[in-house]
Amino acid sequence: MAGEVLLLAPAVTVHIVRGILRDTGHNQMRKPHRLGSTTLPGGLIITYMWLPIAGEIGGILVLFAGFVRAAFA
Amino acid sequence: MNAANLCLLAAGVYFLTGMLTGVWKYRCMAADPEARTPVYVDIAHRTALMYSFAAVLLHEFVPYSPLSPQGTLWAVGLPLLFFGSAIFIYIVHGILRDTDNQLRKPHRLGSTTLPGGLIITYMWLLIAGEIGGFLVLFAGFLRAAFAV
Repeated sequence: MAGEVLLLAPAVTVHIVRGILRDTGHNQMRKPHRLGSTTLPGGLIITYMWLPIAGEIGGILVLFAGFVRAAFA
Repeated sequence: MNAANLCLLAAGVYFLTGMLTGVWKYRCMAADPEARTPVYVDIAHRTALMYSFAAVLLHEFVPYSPLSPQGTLWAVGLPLLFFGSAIFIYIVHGILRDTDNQLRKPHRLGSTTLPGGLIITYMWLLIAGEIGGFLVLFAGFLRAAFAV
């Protein structure tokens, strides 16, 4: 649960920063990855994408498995 | 199976679908030089997330249902079924990449087209099932909370 909140919060923050900077031309995933007037290394973005994937899906899977066992087993 | 558990089961399945279609969307973006994603991959991802929240919302209204347990099961089951069918259709269009607007005529599915009457019937059934199911629960809540 905490893992998911930790990963969702920065995603929202990043979207707000994009809105303030108006720096991406609508797509933060387009290469090269822009942040303000600089660019970010591609590896950083890829790592940051896979971390939320693992944390968010892993977190909900644990809770959902607990519900399914409690409700139907 | 009671109505409350059906809601949470659907919420969990749709939420996981939303996350897994998010991985799919990300992989489409990572593979595209312009980081674009097919329209229905994006729609499937967003709607699965929103319908998972809608399933939890329905769950909150279950205690106020004016219907029998069996009736309440139908009142949540019909909307949940249509939520799931919508997500499923978006995923199919996302896999087939056959349209960027399934309601534009002629209605495409893969390399064939669907009869217009089928889509219209499905849309009205969906509208009746989703709005009807929720109205029953919401009316039950209004009566219980405000003694209308």
